[in-house]
Amino acid sequence: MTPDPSDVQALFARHYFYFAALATLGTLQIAVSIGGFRGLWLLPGRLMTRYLGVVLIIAGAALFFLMPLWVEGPWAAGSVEADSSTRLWGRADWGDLGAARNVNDVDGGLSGTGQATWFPLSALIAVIVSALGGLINRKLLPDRFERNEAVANRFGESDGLELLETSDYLAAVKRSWSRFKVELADDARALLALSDRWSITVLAWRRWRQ
Amino acid sequence: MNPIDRELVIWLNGLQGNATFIDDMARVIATDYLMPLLFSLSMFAMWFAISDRERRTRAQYWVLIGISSIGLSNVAVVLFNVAWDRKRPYEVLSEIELMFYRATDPSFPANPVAIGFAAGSAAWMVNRRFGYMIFGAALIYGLARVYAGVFYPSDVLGGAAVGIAVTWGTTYIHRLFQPITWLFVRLVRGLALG
Repeated sequence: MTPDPSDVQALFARHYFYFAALATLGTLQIAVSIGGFRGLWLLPGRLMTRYLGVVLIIAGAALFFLMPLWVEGPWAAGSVEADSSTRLWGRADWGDLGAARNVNDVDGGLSGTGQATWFPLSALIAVIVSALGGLINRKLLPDRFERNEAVANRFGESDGLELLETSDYLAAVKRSWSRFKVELADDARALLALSDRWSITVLAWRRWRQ
Repeated sequence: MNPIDRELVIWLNGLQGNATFIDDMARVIATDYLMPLLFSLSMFAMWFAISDRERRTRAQYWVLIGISSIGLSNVAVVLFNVAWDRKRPYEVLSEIELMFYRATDPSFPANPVAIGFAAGSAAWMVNRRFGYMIFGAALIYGLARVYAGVFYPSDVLGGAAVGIAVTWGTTYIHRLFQPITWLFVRLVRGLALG
Protein backbone atom coordinates (compact mmCIF):
# COMPACT_ATOMS: atom_id res chain seq x y z
CA MET A 1 0.00 0.00 0.00
CA THR A 2 1.36 3.46 -0.86
CA PRO A 3 1.70 5.88 2.08
CA ASP A 4 -0.69 8.73 2.87
CA PRO A 5 1.11 12.08 2.16
CA SER A 6 -0.10 13.57 5.47
CA ASP A 7 1.53 10.68 7.41
CA VAL A 8 4.72 11.16 5.39
CA GLN A 9 4.70 14.91 6.04
CA ALA A 10 4.30 14.46 9.82
CA LEU A 11 7.16 11.95 9.84
CA PHE A 12 9.46 14.20 7.77
CA ALA A 13 8.64 17.26 9.90
CA ARG A 14 9.49 15.35 13.10
CA HIS A 15 12.75 13.96 11.72
CA TYR A 16 13.78 17.30 10.21
CA PHE A 17 13.18 18.96 13.55
CA TYR A 18 15.53 16.46 15.31
CA PHE A 19 18.17 17.13 12.64
CA ALA A 20 17.78 20.92 12.76
CA ALA A 21 17.70 21.02 16.57
CA LEU A 22 20.96 19.06 16.92
CA ALA A 23 22.66 20.91 14.05
CA THR A 24 21.67 24.41 15.26
CA LEU A 25 22.81 23.57 18.79
CA GLY A 26 26.11 22.27 17.38
CA THR A 27 26.57 25.31 15.15
CA LEU A 28 25.79 27.66 18.03
CA GLN A 29 28.37 25.91 20.21
CA ILE A 30 31.04 26.25 17.50
CA ALA A 31 30.14 29.91 16.86
CA VAL A 32 30.08 30.99 20.52
CA SER A 33 33.33 29.15 21.18
CA ILE A 34 34.92 31.14 18.33
CA GLY A 35 33.33 34.39 19.57
CA GLY A 36 34.33 33.64 23.18
CA PHE A 37 30.78 34.03 24.57
CA ARG A 38 31.25 31.80 27.60
CA GLY A 39 27.73 32.40 28.91
CA LEU A 40 26.40 30.21 26.06
CA TRP A 41 28.94 27.38 26.29
CA LEU A 42 27.59 23.96 27.20
CA LEU A 43 31.01 22.83 28.45
CA PRO A 44 33.58 24.73 30.49
CA GLY A 45 36.45 24.75 27.95
CA ARG A 46 36.59 26.54 24.58
CA LEU A 47 37.97 23.56 22.64
CA MET A 48 35.68 21.07 24.36
CA THR A 49 32.70 23.27 23.41
CA ARG A 50 33.86 23.42 19.79
CA TYR A 51 34.33 19.65 19.55
CA LEU A 52 30.91 19.13 21.12
CA GLY A 53 29.48 21.36 18.39
CA VAL A 54 31.06 19.25 15.65
CA VAL A 55 29.79 16.04 17.28
CA LEU A 56 26.24 17.46 17.55
CA ILE A 57 26.14 18.45 13.86
CA ILE A 58 27.44 15.05 12.73
CA ALA A 59 25.00 13.30 15.11
CA GLY A 60 22.07 15.32 13.70
CA ALA A 61 22.94 14.49 10.09
CA ALA A 62 23.67 10.82 10.88
CA LEU A 63 20.40 10.45 12.78
CA PHE A 64 18.39 12.02 9.95
CA PHE A 65 19.90 9.92 7.18
CA LEU A 66 20.21 6.65 9.13
CA MET A 67 16.80 6.71 10.81
CA PRO A 68 15.08 4.93 7.86
CA LEU A 69 17.00 1.81 8.99
CA TRP A 70 14.92 1.46 12.17
CA VAL A 71 11.92 3.76 11.68
CA GLU A 72 9.16 2.80 9.22
CA GLY A 73 8.42 5.37 6.53
CA PRO A 74 7.99 5.82 2.77
CA TRP A 75 11.24 3.98 2.13
CA ALA A 76 10.46 0.27 2.36
CA ALA A 77 13.44 -1.79 1.19
CA GLY A 78 13.53 -2.05 -2.57
CA SER A 79 10.89 0.64 -3.22
CA VAL A 80 13.03 3.80 -2.98
CA GLU A 81 14.13 3.70 -6.61
CA ALA A 82 10.49 4.19 -7.61
CA ASP A 83 8.96 7.64 -7.86
CA SER A 84 8.15 9.12 -4.45
CA SER A 85 4.38 8.74 -5.04
CA THR A 86 4.61 4.97 -5.50
CA ARG A 87 6.88 3.99 -2.64
CA LEU A 88 5.91 1.46 0.01
CA TRP A 89 5.80 1.95 3.79
CA GLY A 90 8.44 0.08 5.77
CA ARG A 91 12.08 0.08 6.89
CA ALA A 92 14.96 0.70 4.51
CA ASP A 93 18.06 -1.40 3.87
CA TRP A 94 21.61 0.03 3.88
CA GLY A 95 21.56 0.18 0.10
CA ASP A 96 18.38 2.33 0.13
CA LEU A 97 19.69 5.02 2.48
CA GLY A 98 21.03 7.38 -0.18
CA ALA A 99 17.62 7.73 -1.84
CA ALA A 100 15.35 7.23 1.20
CA ARG A 101 14.90 10.96 1.92
CA ASN A 102 14.28 11.99 -1.68
CA VAL A 103 10.53 12.45 -1.44
CA ASN A 104 8.75 15.23 -3.33
CA ASP A 105 6.91 17.70 -1.09
CA VAL A 106 3.67 17.04 -3.01
CA ASP A 107 4.00 13.42 -1.81
CA GLY A 108 4.67 14.37 1.81
CA GLY A 109 8.29 15.56 1.82
CA LEU A 110 8.94 18.73 3.81
CA SER A 111 8.56 21.88 1.69
CA GLY A 112 10.81 24.94 1.90
CA THR A 113 8.07 26.72 3.86
CA GLY A 114 7.94 23.82 6.31
CA GLN A 115 11.71 23.99 6.78
CA ALA A 116 11.50 27.77 7.23
CA THR A 117 9.07 27.14 10.10
CA TRP A 118 11.05 24.43 11.88
CA PHE A 119 14.48 26.03 11.57
CA PRO A 120 13.77 29.19 13.65
CA LEU A 121 12.13 27.02 16.32
CA SER A 122 15.27 24.85 16.41
CA ALA A 123 17.44 27.97 16.65
CA LEU A 124 15.38 29.29 19.55
CA ILE A 125 15.66 25.97 21.38
CA ALA A 126 19.43 25.93 20.75
CA VAL A 127 19.77 29.38 22.33
CA ILE A 128 17.65 28.40 25.36
CA VAL A 129 19.58 25.14 25.91
CA SER A 130 22.91 26.99 25.55
CA ALA A 131 21.82 29.72 27.99
CA LEU A 132 20.84 27.04 30.52
CA GLY A 133 24.19 25.30 29.93
CA GLY A 134 25.98 28.60 30.59
CA LEU A 135 24.04 29.06 33.84
CA ILE A 136 25.01 25.58 35.02
CA ASN A 137 28.65 26.25 34.06
CA ARG A 138 28.63 29.43 36.09
CA LYS A 139 27.25 27.60 39.15
CA LEU A 140 29.82 24.80 38.82
CA LEU A 141 32.85 26.95 37.90
CA PRO A 142 32.23 30.43 39.29
CA ASP A 143 35.92 31.39 39.41
CA ARG A 144 36.29 31.24 35.60
CA PHE A 145 33.52 33.79 35.14
CA GLU A 146 34.66 35.99 38.02
CA ARG A 147 38.21 36.22 36.71
CA ASN A 148 36.90 37.34 33.31
CA GLU A 149 34.40 39.69 34.92
CA ALA A 150 37.18 41.45 36.82
CA VAL A 151 39.06 41.98 33.54
CA ALA A 152 35.90 43.20 31.77
CA ASN A 153 35.05 45.71 34.49
CA ARG A 154 38.31 47.48 33.76
CA PHE A 155 37.02 48.27 30.28
CA GLY A 156 33.78 49.90 31.43
CA GLU A 157 30.15 49.35 30.38
CA SER A 158 29.13 46.92 27.68
CA ASP A 159 25.97 45.12 26.59
CA GLY A 160 24.74 42.38 24.26
CA LEU A 161 26.82 39.33 23.49
CA GLU A 162 29.97 40.95 24.98
CA LEU A 163 28.46 40.51 28.41
CA LEU A 164 28.29 36.77 27.80
CA GLU A 165 32.08 36.68 27.71
CA THR A 166 31.99 37.29 31.44
CA SER A 167 28.52 36.50 32.75
CA ASP A 168 25.62 34.11 32.33
CA TYR A 169 22.63 34.88 30.14
CA LEU A 170 20.25 36.06 32.89
CA ALA A 171 22.73 38.62 34.19
CA ALA A 172 23.56 39.72 30.63
CA VAL A 173 19.95 40.18 29.51
CA LYS A 174 19.12 42.19 32.65
CA ARG A 175 21.97 44.63 32.04
CA SER A 176 21.50 44.77 28.24
CA TRP A 177 17.76 45.38 28.44
CA SER A 178 18.06 48.23 30.94
CA ARG A 179 20.69 49.87 28.74
CA PHE A 180 18.52 49.30 25.63
CA LYS A 181 15.56 51.09 27.25
CA VAL A 182 17.72 54.07 28.24
CA GLU A 183 19.48 54.38 24.87
CA LEU A 184 16.64 53.48 22.48
CA ALA A 185 15.46 57.03 21.73
CA ASP A 186 19.02 58.35 21.13
CA ASP A 187 19.95 55.29 19.06
CA ALA A 188 16.81 55.61 16.93
CA ARG A 189 17.53 59.30 16.23
CA ALA A 190 21.17 58.55 15.38
CA LEU A 191 20.20 55.68 13.08
CA LEU A 192 17.52 57.79 11.35
CA ALA A 193 20.20 60.40 10.66
CA LEU A 194 22.41 57.71 9.12
CA SER A 195 19.63 56.34 6.87
CA ASP A 196 19.19 57.31 3.22
CA ARG A 197 17.04 60.36 2.58
CA TRP A 198 14.79 58.23 0.36
CA SER A 199 14.09 55.69 3.11
CA ILE A 200 10.34 55.27 3.65
CA THR A 201 10.87 55.32 7.41
CA VAL A 202 12.80 58.61 7.21
CA LEU A 203 10.15 60.17 4.98
CA ALA A 204 7.36 58.99 7.30
CA TRP A 205 9.27 60.32 10.32
CA ARG A 206 9.76 63.75 8.70
CA ARG A 207 6.12 63.95 7.69
CA TRP A 208 4.96 62.97 11.17
CA ARG A 209 7.16 65.64 12.77
CA GLN A 210 5.71 68.33 10.48
CA MET B 1 18.22 23.56 -26.51
CA ASN B 2 21.79 24.72 -26.09
CA PRO B 3 24.01 21.83 -27.38
CA ILE B 4 26.68 22.44 -24.69
CA ASP B 5 23.99 22.21 -22.01
CA ARG B 6 22.68 19.00 -23.55
CA GLU B 7 26.11 17.38 -23.89
CA LEU B 8 27.16 18.34 -20.36
CA VAL B 9 24.06 16.97 -18.67
CA ILE B 10 24.24 13.73 -20.66
CA TRP B 11 27.96 13.36 -19.85
CA LEU B 12 27.61 14.12 -16.12
CA ASN B 13 24.47 12.02 -15.69
CA GLY B 14 26.14 9.22 -17.67
CA LEU B 15 28.84 8.92 -14.99
CA GLN B 16 26.35 7.41 -12.54
CA GLY B 17 26.49 3.67 -12.00
CA ASN B 18 30.30 3.53 -11.94
CA ALA B 19 30.64 3.79 -8.16
CA THR B 20 27.75 3.09 -5.77
CA PHE B 21 29.34 5.25 -3.05
CA ILE B 22 29.49 8.31 -5.30
CA ASP B 23 25.90 7.72 -6.46
CA ASP B 24 24.71 7.50 -2.84
CA MET B 25 26.68 10.63 -1.85
CA ALA B 26 25.20 12.52 -4.81
CA ARG B 27 21.71 11.46 -3.72
CA VAL B 28 22.34 12.60 -0.13
CA ILE B 29 23.81 15.94 -1.26
CA ALA B 30 20.95 16.45 -3.72
CA THR B 31 18.21 16.01 -1.05
CA ASP B 32 16.01 18.95 -0.12
CA TYR B 33 17.31 18.91 3.45
CA LEU B 34 21.11 18.77 3.84
CA MET B 35 22.35 21.77 1.85
CA PRO B 36 19.45 24.15 2.61
CA LEU B 37 20.03 23.46 6.30
CA LEU B 38 23.75 24.11 5.79
CA PHE B 39 22.98 27.50 4.21
CA SER B 40 20.69 28.41 7.12
CA LEU B 41 23.31 27.26 9.63
CA SER B 42 25.94 29.42 7.95
CA MET B 43 23.74 32.50 8.56
CA PHE B 44 23.11 31.38 12.15
CA ALA B 45 26.85 30.93 12.78
CA MET B 46 27.68 34.34 11.31
CA TRP B 47 25.38 35.99 13.85
CA PHE B 48 27.35 34.66 16.83
CA ALA B 49 30.91 33.94 15.73
CA ILE B 50 32.52 37.41 15.80
CA SER B 51 33.78 38.84 19.08
CA ASP B 52 34.52 42.39 17.91
CA ARG B 53 31.29 44.37 18.29
CA GLU B 54 31.65 46.60 15.24
CA ARG B 55 32.42 43.70 12.91
CA ARG B 56 29.70 41.58 14.49
CA THR B 57 27.04 44.29 14.08
CA ARG B 58 27.97 44.52 10.40
CA ALA B 59 27.82 40.71 10.09
CA GLN B 60 24.40 40.66 11.74
CA TYR B 61 23.13 43.26 9.29
CA TRP B 62 24.29 40.98 6.46
CA VAL B 63 22.70 37.95 8.10
CA LEU B 64 19.35 39.76 7.97
CA ILE B 65 19.97 40.61 4.32
CA GLY B 66 20.96 36.98 3.65
CA ILE B 67 17.77 35.63 5.27
CA SER B 68 15.61 38.07 3.30
CA SER B 69 17.50 37.19 0.10
CA ILE B 70 16.85 33.48 0.60
CA GLY B 71 13.12 34.19 0.82
CA LEU B 72 13.13 36.64 -2.10
CA SER B 73 15.18 34.23 -4.27
CA ASN B 74 12.30 31.77 -4.02
CA VAL B 75 9.93 34.50 -5.21
CA ALA B 76 12.28 35.39 -8.11
CA VAL B 77 12.53 31.72 -9.14
CA VAL B 78 8.72 31.39 -9.16
CA LEU B 79 8.49 34.49 -11.41
CA PHE B 80 11.03 32.96 -13.82
CA ASN B 81 9.03 29.70 -13.75
CA VAL B 82 5.87 31.58 -14.74
CA ALA B 83 7.71 33.21 -17.65
CA TRP B 84 9.48 30.06 -18.88
CA ASP B 85 8.28 26.52 -18.28
CA ARG B 86 11.54 24.77 -19.10
CA LYS B 87 11.19 20.99 -19.03
CA ARG B 88 13.54 18.94 -16.85
CA PRO B 89 16.35 16.97 -18.58
CA TYR B 90 14.74 13.59 -17.76
CA GLU B 91 11.51 14.75 -19.44
CA VAL B 92 13.25 15.76 -22.68
CA LEU B 93 16.32 13.56 -23.11
CA SER B 94 15.86 9.80 -23.38
CA GLU B 95 19.54 9.22 -22.38
CA ILE B 96 18.97 10.63 -18.89
CA GLU B 97 18.74 8.18 -15.98
CA LEU B 98 16.72 9.84 -13.19
CA MET B 99 18.23 9.38 -9.73
CA PHE B 100 15.84 11.68 -7.88
CA TYR B 101 12.10 12.19 -7.49
CA ARG B 102 10.11 13.57 -10.45
CA ALA B 103 10.06 17.31 -9.79
CA THR B 104 6.82 19.04 -10.79
CA ASP B 105 8.11 22.61 -11.24
CA PRO B 106 10.12 24.01 -14.18
CA SER B 107 13.87 23.51 -14.40
CA PHE B 108 15.20 27.09 -14.86
CA PRO B 109 16.64 28.60 -12.71
CA ALA B 110 17.85 26.09 -10.10
CA ASN B 111 16.02 27.13 -6.93
CA PRO B 112 18.39 25.40 -4.46
CA VAL B 113 21.42 27.02 -6.10
CA ALA B 114 19.72 30.43 -5.97
CA ILE B 115 19.23 30.19 -2.19
CA GLY B 116 22.80 28.92 -1.75
CA PHE B 117 24.21 31.87 -3.68
CA ALA B 118 21.93 34.28 -1.82
CA ALA B 119 23.34 33.04 1.50
CA GLY B 120 26.87 32.93 0.04
CA SER B 121 26.68 36.53 -1.23
CA ALA B 122 25.69 37.79 2.23
CA ALA B 123 28.50 35.75 3.80
CA TRP B 124 30.98 37.02 1.17
CA MET B 125 30.27 40.61 2.23
CA VAL B 126 31.40 39.73 5.75
CA ASN B 127 34.19 37.24 5.14
CA ARG B 128 35.46 36.46 1.63
CA ARG B 129 36.72 32.95 2.48
CA PHE B 130 33.48 31.96 4.22
CA GLY B 131 31.52 33.32 1.26
CA TYR B 132 33.55 31.26 -1.23
CA MET B 133 32.97 28.14 0.90
CA ILE B 134 29.20 28.63 0.70
CA PHE B 135 29.41 29.36 -3.05
CA GLY B 136 31.36 26.09 -3.40
CA ALA B 137 28.75 24.16 -1.40
CA ALA B 138 25.96 25.64 -3.53
CA LEU B 139 27.80 24.66 -6.75
CA ILE B 140 28.32 21.09 -5.48
CA TYR B 141 24.60 20.99 -4.63
CA GLY B 142 23.74 22.10 -8.15
CA LEU B 143 26.15 19.64 -9.76
CA ALA B 144 24.71 16.78 -7.66
CA ARG B 145 21.31 17.64 -9.12
CA VAL B 146 22.73 17.73 -12.66
CA TYR B 147 24.30 14.32 -11.94
CA ALA B 148 20.88 13.12 -10.72
CA GLY B 149 19.28 14.28 -13.99
CA VAL B 150 16.98 17.04 -12.68
CA PHE B 151 18.87 20.18 -13.78
CA TYR B 152 20.84 21.43 -16.78
CA PRO B 153 24.19 23.16 -16.11
CA SER B 154 22.62 26.41 -17.34
CA ASP B 155 19.93 26.08 -14.64
CA VAL B 156 22.73 26.01 -12.06
CA LEU B 157 24.38 29.10 -13.57
CA GLY B 158 21.00 30.82 -13.77
CA GLY B 159 20.31 29.97 -10.11
CA ALA B 160 23.69 31.41 -9.09
CA ALA B 161 23.00 34.64 -11.00
CA VAL B 162 19.51 34.94 -9.47
CA GLY B 163 20.90 34.41 -5.93
CA ILE B 164 23.60 37.07 -6.35
CA ALA B 165 21.29 39.57 -8.08
CA VAL B 166 18.54 39.14 -5.49
CA THR B 167 21.01 39.73 -2.63
CA TRP B 168 22.22 42.91 -4.33
CA GLY B 169 18.60 44.03 -4.80
CA THR B 170 17.72 43.13 -1.21
CA THR B 171 20.31 45.58 0.14
CA TYR B 172 18.28 48.37 -1.52
CA ILE B 173 15.03 47.01 -0.08
CA HIS B 174 16.60 47.10 3.39
CA ARG B 175 17.87 50.63 2.76
CA LEU B 176 14.36 51.60 1.70
CA PHE B 177 13.13 50.71 5.19
CA GLN B 178 16.19 51.78 7.20
CA PRO B 179 16.76 52.17 10.10
CA ILE B 180 14.42 49.24 10.83
CA THR B 181 17.09 46.56 10.21
CA TRP B 182 19.62 48.41 12.39
CA LEU B 183 17.01 48.88 15.13
CA PHE B 184 16.22 45.16 14.98
CA VAL B 185 19.90 44.37 15.53
CA ARG B 186 19.87 46.88 18.42
CA LEU B 187 16.78 45.20 19.91
CA VAL B 188 18.43 41.78 19.77
CA ARG B 189 21.50 43.26 21.48
CA GLY B 190 19.09 44.43 24.20
CA LEU B 191 18.17 40.76 24.61
CA ALA B 192 21.90 40.01 25.02
CA LEU B 193 21.97 38.05 21.74
CA GLY B 194 23.30 40.68 19.36
